[in-house]
Amino acid sequence: MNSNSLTSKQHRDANRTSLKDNNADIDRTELAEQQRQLVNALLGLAPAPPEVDADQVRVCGQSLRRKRARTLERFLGEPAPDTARSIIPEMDDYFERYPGVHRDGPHADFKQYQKFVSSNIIHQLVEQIRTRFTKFR
Amino acid sequence: MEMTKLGIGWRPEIALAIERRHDLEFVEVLFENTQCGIPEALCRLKDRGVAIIPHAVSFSLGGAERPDVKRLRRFNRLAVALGAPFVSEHIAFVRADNKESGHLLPVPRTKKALQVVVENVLIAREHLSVPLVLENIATICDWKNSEMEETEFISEILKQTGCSMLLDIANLYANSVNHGFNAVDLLNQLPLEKIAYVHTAGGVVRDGVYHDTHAHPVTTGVHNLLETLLTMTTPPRVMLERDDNFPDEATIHNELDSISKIISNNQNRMTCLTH
Repeated sequence: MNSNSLTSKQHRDANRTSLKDNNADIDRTELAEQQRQLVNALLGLAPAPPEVDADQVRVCGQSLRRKRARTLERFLGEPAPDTARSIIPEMDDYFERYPGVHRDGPHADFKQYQKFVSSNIIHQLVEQIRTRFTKFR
Repeated sequence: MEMTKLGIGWRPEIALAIERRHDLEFVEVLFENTQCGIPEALCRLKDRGVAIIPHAVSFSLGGAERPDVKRLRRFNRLAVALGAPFVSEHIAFVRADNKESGHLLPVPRTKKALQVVVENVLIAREHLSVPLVLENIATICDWKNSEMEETEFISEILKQTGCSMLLDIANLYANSVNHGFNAVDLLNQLPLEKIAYVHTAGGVVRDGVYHDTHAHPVTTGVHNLLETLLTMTTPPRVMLERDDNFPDEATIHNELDSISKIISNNQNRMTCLTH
């Protein structure tokens, strides 16, 4: 056996159980509801479910937010720190608009964030032009 | 006597530091970071005989949804392309209600949830041609309605699925600090003979809560727990995980040296005991 693989006992265990042996009719609805409540609470969209300590949810929610912000900052990267700094304040608005991370992962989340920032900038420019145009009319 | 192998989590930011280190016998690569193909630096390591273990964070094996078969097939293709001895994922859920939390979250430790996790793991295994190894997670929030302790829940999943364990001692340490358990007691309750490999990682205490950041140096508490683990069993592999705030090459090597020293001290102790 390749010395990097599992031990022979671990291999035997891995081959012993299969999906076919697991015939129980499993109800997933209760778990789905519990998980729905927790995720919504962590993303700040609902109060903490009764089965979880509210303070723990608050701290964990902050930790998730910090982690997501840090990941976006890392994608913004070193080459343009000034640009990075100028758009970081938009992050809170972004998290409010898109509470969950993009389904395709952190990089897709960053792309979505870039689009969000761009559309905000365009929106602000349009507003500025409209204001000036109104002033001159 | 079988020696414990030293490894590290491969990240592009520290690829050179890893390549220059010749005592590494395995690296772990994040499946989610290989969407654009296998990096050349990883291929070079593979050619050098370094084993590469694909590690996933997003299958949500503890989730109410069944795991995504298409992505499992992609995971398997990666494992085959890398000649991986096995792959690993967490006992956790990451999404619900069509929302991604971006984090590994604890499954309520009930008998019903246990059935779901077991079925998800078996579904995953059906689509993998190499063994699947399961990792314990660090939790800040926990379920009050749990019917089992974490160690019992993990042990039962491993028993019912036949999977081996990726023991993250930093996660175990984090849980012992945040939920007031004795970490050594937790080790005693786990099936240590099922360990395929061990994670160590750094963290930081913020407002009285230990955060398993993977962005700080490995703490003395985690090193001590690794030392204790090695007196209880000889895990086949131990590795360092670093995901952010990457230090310079010398610091990464020092972190690896610390782990290597703990491994060799223990191996020397074992040799003395057997003679």
